[in-house]
Amino acid sequence: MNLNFNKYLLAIFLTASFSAKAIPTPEAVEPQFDADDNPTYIIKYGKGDRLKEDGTPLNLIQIECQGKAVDFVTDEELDQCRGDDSLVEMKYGWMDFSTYKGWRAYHAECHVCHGPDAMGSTYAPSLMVSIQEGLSYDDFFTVIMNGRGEAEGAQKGNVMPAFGANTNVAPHVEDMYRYVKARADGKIRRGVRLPKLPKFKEVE
Amino acid sequence: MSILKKSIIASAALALPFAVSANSKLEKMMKDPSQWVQQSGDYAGHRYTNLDQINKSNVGSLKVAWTFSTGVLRGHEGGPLVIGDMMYVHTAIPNIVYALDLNDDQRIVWKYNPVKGGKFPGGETMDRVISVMCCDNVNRGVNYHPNGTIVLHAADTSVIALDAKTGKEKWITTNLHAGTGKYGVSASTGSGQPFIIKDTVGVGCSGAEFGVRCNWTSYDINSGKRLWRAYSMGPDKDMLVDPNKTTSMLKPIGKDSSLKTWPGDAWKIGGGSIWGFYGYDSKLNTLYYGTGNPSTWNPVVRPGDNKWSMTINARNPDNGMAKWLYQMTPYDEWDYDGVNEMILVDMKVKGKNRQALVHFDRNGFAYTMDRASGELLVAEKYDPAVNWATHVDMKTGRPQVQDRYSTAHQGEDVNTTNICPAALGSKDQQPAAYDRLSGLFMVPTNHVCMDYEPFKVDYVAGNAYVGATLSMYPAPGGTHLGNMIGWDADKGKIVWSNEEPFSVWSGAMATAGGITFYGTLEGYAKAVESKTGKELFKFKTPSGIIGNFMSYSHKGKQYVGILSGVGGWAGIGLAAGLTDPTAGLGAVGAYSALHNHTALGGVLTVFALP
Ligand code: HEC
Repeated sequence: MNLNFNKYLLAIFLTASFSAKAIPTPEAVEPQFDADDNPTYIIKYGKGDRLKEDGTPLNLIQIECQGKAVDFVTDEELDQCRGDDSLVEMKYGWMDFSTYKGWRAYHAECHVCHGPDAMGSTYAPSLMVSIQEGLSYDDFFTVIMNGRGEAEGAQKGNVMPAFGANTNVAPHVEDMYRYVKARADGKIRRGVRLPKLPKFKEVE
Repeated sequence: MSILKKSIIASAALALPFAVSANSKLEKMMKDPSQWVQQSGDYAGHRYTNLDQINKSNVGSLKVAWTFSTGVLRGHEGGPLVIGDMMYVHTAIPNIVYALDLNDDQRIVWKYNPVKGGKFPGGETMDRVISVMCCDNVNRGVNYHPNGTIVLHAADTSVIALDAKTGKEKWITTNLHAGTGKYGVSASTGSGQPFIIKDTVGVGCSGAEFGVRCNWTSYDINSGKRLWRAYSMGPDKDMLVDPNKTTSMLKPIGKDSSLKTWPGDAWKIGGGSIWGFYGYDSKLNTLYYGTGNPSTWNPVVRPGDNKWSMTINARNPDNGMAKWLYQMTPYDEWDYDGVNEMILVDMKVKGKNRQALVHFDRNGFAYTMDRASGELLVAEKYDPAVNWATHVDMKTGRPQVQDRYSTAHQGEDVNTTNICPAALGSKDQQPAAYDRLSGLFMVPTNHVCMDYEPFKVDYVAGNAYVGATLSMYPAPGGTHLGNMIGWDADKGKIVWSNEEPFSVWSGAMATAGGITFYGTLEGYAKAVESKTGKELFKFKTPSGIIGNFMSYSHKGKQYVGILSGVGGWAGIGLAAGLTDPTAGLGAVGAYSALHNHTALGGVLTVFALP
């Protein structure tokens, strides 16, 4: 299911920049595909971000504790990291534009049911976990387009609405997949607060 | 217009002789503390009981007397009623109502389910209705009319009058439309309580996240016939306002007060939903309710004040005409719905006796108004974290918005950060109580901030129409997401404040025993001393609490009841926790995730002394 997503795609990379407050120039990159031809996210880590006044970079994308995203470490591991800074690594960088759009669409249209940061709610499952447990891009796409009610096997009282006719959602399914997959793979921390991206152009 | 007007006058005139007696009968019942006859306890919304058997000195030994499972999983807001020896309990969708016999070990006398063959009375499937509820399947409870009727406002907007004795349908009217049927496309839903005044029942509407133009509609309690409908925005005749007589900040509102404040036809999908808890003053014959956010959440596409969204409405319940209006958040840029409860208290404000209305708004300001004239008396922040506005200008009534937190000023596609409060407000629907002993207000609050990025969206009829992305987190300086506070509405000051790990999403109840009850999202039912906030009792109920406390007495014994059943917007927003476990690896809230503490399930827990 390879939709024409080139249109939506412009990945922005940040290469190390040495002047403190320089605004990095975004670069277009080719989207990547996995072995099944599914879109994957692209995130590059680097240190030379835009800096805040106190010199710390603005966009901390992930914190790793003992080599694992903090989302996925045990309480015990977290305690060890709290005790020993050398076990902690901060990752800075940009999300590519598609992942960013997915983040934005998700938090506008889906988080009211699926919870912030794709973490799930009392109402609907964590999509991050769904992908970790093997939900494929095809199924992701199909559920969003067609919805899922009790008749299609949803839990009683649960309804996943159909978004096929929703022009604010349908064109961004790949973007959202990329965002949720990046969460599932521990590439983006939760509550990541994106600073305003530098002005960029979408390439047709 | 003329036909509408005639029928309003005719029916109002007809209703009058009955009206007075029905009204006084209901008000008399409200004064009898052995019953709980209205969602808020009384018309004034005090949520106060005169019962004092359970009090400061013995509440510590409170025990569970009995429990009842509603059989429904989703979020349970509102609370049960007690009329005579019967208790009425409602549930989240499918909106079942149970009548329990308190004389017979709470035997189920009748059970009513409005969903038949998968469909609500209005003809929409349950799936469709659930998919257009913005924030879980909640319902805020049934109400009672002394002609022996229990009224249910079901999720598909059907207003259903049931015989209180038998549970048989007396009449059903579907107020608005939740689907895409012959009435065109809409996504209106019902979650607010039906409100009884004289021989009428009035209902609001939900759906501001779906581009619905909301309204208040009043029906005849005996026939279900529609009496009047007042839209939140649009032409004067739709809103039932009189340009010369209806006032705002003590001045007439003038012609086309709403139309002038929207670009083009944007008012037609303007939102302004009504789904909180309302007030009624029978001496002034005035109904009070608040309207919600203008849609979409992207303010850039609707420059103007977007009147009368975000507004306290004071209306004549006989014909709907507005007496006064006060807009708290003109040109909303944060989703600070103005729907919260209206509490009517006669009190001294700045040394003068006033017929006051106290309202704790989502926007973080607590307003004290003169409820007869609509004069603004006090507007102060009830959470020190509130930063989107510095203060409310008392001359104009307008909040002084800070540019750096203005999502319109920052613009589309810009993530405006660190705005307090978050969209769910310093307080959402969870109603406050008024402690008649100390004169303090017992207010359950949220302590959450947000980033908000508005962007362009298309309006697709019947679909969500949001247009902003947001992320929420605890207010700076802590990891707790809620506070239970005692508030002085004259001085506009917090008297005491208890930190809670999660938003306090349950309605409070104050008692003549000097104590106040409230619930927490982890499921604790708590009692504190009303004067000081000192915790005296806590018990963990089967699920998180978003329902409202009530009290009654039976055979001389006082009982306190609460519905648990986590969900609602709180359950959605907080289930995974908002505390970023990564935040500098600092003090990680032990409570970061709600799902580590509680799971779904509607259960009524009733407490009594041993
Ligand atoms: C009205 C609430 C609601 C909204 C809004 C919503 N969903 Fe869902 N969604 C659900 C529910 C409930 C389920 C689970 C249905 C079931 O029990 O199988 C679900 C299931 C899913 C699934 C399948 C998960 C799995 O493990 O099988 C995907 C994928 C999904 N939703 C994506 C989305 C996306 C993307 C959005 C935003 C565009 C979204 N949903 C918006 C309620 C919602």
